Amino acid sequence: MNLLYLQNLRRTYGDFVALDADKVELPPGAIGLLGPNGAGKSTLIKVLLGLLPPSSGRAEVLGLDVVKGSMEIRSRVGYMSESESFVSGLKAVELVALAGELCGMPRRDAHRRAHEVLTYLGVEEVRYRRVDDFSTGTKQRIQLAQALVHDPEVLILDEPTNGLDPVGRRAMLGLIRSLHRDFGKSILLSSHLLDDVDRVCDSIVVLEKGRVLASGRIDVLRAHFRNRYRLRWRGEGGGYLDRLREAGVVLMGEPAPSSGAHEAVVEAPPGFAGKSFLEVLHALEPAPGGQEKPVLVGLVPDEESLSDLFQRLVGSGAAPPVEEALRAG
Amino acid sequence: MRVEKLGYRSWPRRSTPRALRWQPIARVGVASVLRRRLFWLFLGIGLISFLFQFAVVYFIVQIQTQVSQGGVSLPPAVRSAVFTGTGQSYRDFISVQSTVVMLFLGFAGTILVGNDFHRRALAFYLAKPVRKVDYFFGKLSAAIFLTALITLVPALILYVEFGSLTESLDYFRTSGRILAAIIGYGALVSVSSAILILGIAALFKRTIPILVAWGAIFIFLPGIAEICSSASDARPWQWDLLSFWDVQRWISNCFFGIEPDKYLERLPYALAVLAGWMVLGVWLFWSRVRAVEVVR
Repeated sequence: MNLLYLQNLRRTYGDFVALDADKVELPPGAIGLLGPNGAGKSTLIKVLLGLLPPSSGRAEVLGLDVVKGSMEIRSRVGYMSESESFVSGLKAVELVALAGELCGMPRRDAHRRAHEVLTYLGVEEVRYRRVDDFSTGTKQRIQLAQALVHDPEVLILDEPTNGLDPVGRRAMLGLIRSLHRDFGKSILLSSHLLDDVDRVCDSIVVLEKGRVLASGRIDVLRAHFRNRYRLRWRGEGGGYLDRLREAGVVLMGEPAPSSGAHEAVVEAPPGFAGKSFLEVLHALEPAPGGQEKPVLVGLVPDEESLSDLFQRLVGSGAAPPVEEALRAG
Repeated sequence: MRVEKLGYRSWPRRSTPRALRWQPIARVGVASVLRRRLFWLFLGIGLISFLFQFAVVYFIVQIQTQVSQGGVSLPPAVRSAVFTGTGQSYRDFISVQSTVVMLFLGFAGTILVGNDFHRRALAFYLAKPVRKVDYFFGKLSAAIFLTALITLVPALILYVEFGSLTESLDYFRTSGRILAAIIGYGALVSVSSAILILGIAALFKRTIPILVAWGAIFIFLPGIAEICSSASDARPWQWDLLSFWDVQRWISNCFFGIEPDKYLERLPYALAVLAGWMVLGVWLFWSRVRAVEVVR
């Protein structure tokens, strides 16, 4: 059973296409929903919660159709919204208990569970204070508590670290990671902070202008771009780099001096292995004027950060062949 | 083991029926309103009239009993001036209470509904397995309960008191219609006012605009009706359909059987106008509570 399944899903507002996803299929786990502002993340969340019907296509959460099974989905999903959404005037424990009751918990169970969850999230000391008076960090935890109170299988978290200081942010991410790793909760984390997603998620869906650019496990997506190397050499490397370019290697930025040598990140075409770099190097003729051949002192695969991966996907618009390759991966 | 050491625990699923999801919404709505001191003030004002009538009923029945034992009865002028247990007494009592209800609901609208919009509580409610209709019934029930607390419940207490204090229990046997009319009129005032405030509060959200709109319906429109009506010597009653008060009063007169010839003729019009207000209230509420506005 997939956590998330989208097929030819479109949501339009008049002529404006807010969401257009050909096919996304992700198993339960921690999924990051990445995209710049206006990418369609919130629209996708609305559709997944059954708050907004798709204009066409199909979407499923936990194998349940978002149109026919929206109530069942909402009872198995906990949602934490990006902005504060509280019932004004309630105490923290009352708000969390109310959330539990709305999800179908008997009143007494909901109250007991509210106390437990607030304690687990480290906000038990403020449980009898009104939610309107809390700091941003506490409010975020209360929001997480109300999403968690009915013990959902999936947590949909929309920018959960918004407005938090570094300490609060780290703590919040720690809680989310723990819920996923220690308690088996599936997470759908929508964020524009790539570091948050990198720390918590093992899969991502990248959106831009409503279009799904890529989806899949982060390690698989990274592997697709693993033909990147960090190349270090001593001596003049101009001719060498030209030869590499002729061989189809792409230079990622200009070479930079590094500890008495030069360093550059290069991306090799498929099938171009480390040995090929050496072959190119050995084939170089001594440079005219007695210049020495460059000496290769380092050749290591370059680990691409999620930020780089995201920039690449969004920047390139993930041309269809790349997108296909990623999905196949 | 201390609860702090328990960590996260899963919950063995036991679910309440989905049809009852409106109940916590209603309960929280009532609690939110009653937490404000202002509403205890309104409730107190509303209960002044009730407590006065309650005492009057007690004393009048006692006095009447004493006087009748001496072979005389109270002068008609005195009897008609006080609560006499007739349908008209109850109608007048509920009418007076309705004035307090309007003030009460004007302020309560913000807390019951308006705050949910501008504090984004709709996202909180509608992201749960709760339908819009559950949300509507929850809020409606809260408003009806609060209104009935000032109108229907005191009227029923007066009815029971009046019947209990008479020497025999014949009053209960002979006044079935009055009881039905009290329930009918009380329900009419409660439901119609509650639906209207839900719609107005969903549209305007904040206290001042809600009070202005509320005032327009309950003060401005009756004023217009009065001016238009008095412009003609015939004083056509149709203008009074603009007045929410009059519409309610005409219907209640039919319930209590007061001047039936006069008010039965007006009943279809009054019902149509009241239905129009109800439809407007429901439509305003329904059209404002939309999922598209939920997740921003």
